[in-house]
Amino acid sequence: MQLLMYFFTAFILFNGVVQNGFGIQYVKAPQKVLVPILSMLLSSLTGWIIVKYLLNPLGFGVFGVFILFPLSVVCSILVAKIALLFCKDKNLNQFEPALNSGFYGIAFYGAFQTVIFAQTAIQAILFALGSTAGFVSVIAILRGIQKRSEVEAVPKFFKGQPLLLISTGLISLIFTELLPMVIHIFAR
Amino acid sequence: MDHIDSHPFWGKKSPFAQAAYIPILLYTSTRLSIAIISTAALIWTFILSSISILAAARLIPSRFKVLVHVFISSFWTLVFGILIFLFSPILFLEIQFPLALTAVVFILSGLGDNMDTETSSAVMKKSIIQSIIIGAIILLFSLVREPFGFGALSLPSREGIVEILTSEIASDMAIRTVALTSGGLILLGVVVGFYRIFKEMFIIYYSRRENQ
Repeated sequence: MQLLMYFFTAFILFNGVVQNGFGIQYVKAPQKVLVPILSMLLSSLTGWIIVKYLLNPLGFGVFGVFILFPLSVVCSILVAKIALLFCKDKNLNQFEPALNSGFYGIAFYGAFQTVIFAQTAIQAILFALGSTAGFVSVIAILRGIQKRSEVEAVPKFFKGQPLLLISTGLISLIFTELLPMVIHIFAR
Repeated sequence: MDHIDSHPFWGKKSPFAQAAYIPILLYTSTRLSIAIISTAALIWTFILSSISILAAARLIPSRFKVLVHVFISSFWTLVFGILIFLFSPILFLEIQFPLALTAVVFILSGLGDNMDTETSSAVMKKSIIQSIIIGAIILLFSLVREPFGFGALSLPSREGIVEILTSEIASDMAIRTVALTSGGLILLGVVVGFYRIFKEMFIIYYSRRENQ
């Protein structure tokens, strides 16, 4: 039950889109989300291991957050290169311009949350998995809203990004209200 | 149209036109104290990273160019983080995420991409203007979100974030949602919508003036 609580807490609380608007660009192309979420998982786990077993014993753990961005970019490039082995198009540029920023910072955000909150390896894995699952779910919901908005009478200036931001805000509000309920259910 | 497209506020690279700037606009505008430190960190990172990249441009192999830019910008955010830590460790713990995020913003701004083709003065001018524009938007946003969301204003200090101009009535009347991410996203969505309306008006006015 406690493991489920970790997973669902991360699903809501460490969700990059809902909590900070990270990776909102993937609503336009949800089919491209696989490589970013794999790099998010990899950077979360490697970041946690480096900070926990290398920087903390040396007394530099407090500055660990600053190595997470370069680490997430390296992880993203590594994952993208592995993904190329399974792609027809062997050009790394297909992941640009997002690749150089760790897929718009989502890999960095995932790593940051895991490093700050995870105390054990199990927690780190569950937080990484939960935040990834949450990210994919919200992207799928937002994609549905975006598709619907294309056929609805939305004012011209609010089509696209403004509407996306407002709908993300409303989903964020729902998720924030859900969190105490989730903790209550699984903590019993 | 080219003038408008390359304009730092009305152009294609404006913080309101690109979704990449949403996280920093949201996170740092929650409180005025965070906005002040983040603006300083942005200006610091943008200027020093640009200078370092310009100075080392010939030494950086083109294959690893972006990776080196990532390391340079992260290094300068780390230096700024250490300075804040020396000033106040409590303040550092409260703002470490937006500090680290400034390196991500520098890479997303794409300033490092065109440094080979532009003059050093043009690069420096661009990085200063861009960092000031993002900083100004963050400060303005925080001046709306914090009073309405918390009923107070805060400033950074040695003891961490210190609240000023606070009262019980203002705190009771505060709309907490505005200070949360959800309220920030809705507010940002409305602002981006109005930004587009003003941009359209600006383009019509500019093209009419050019035709005359």
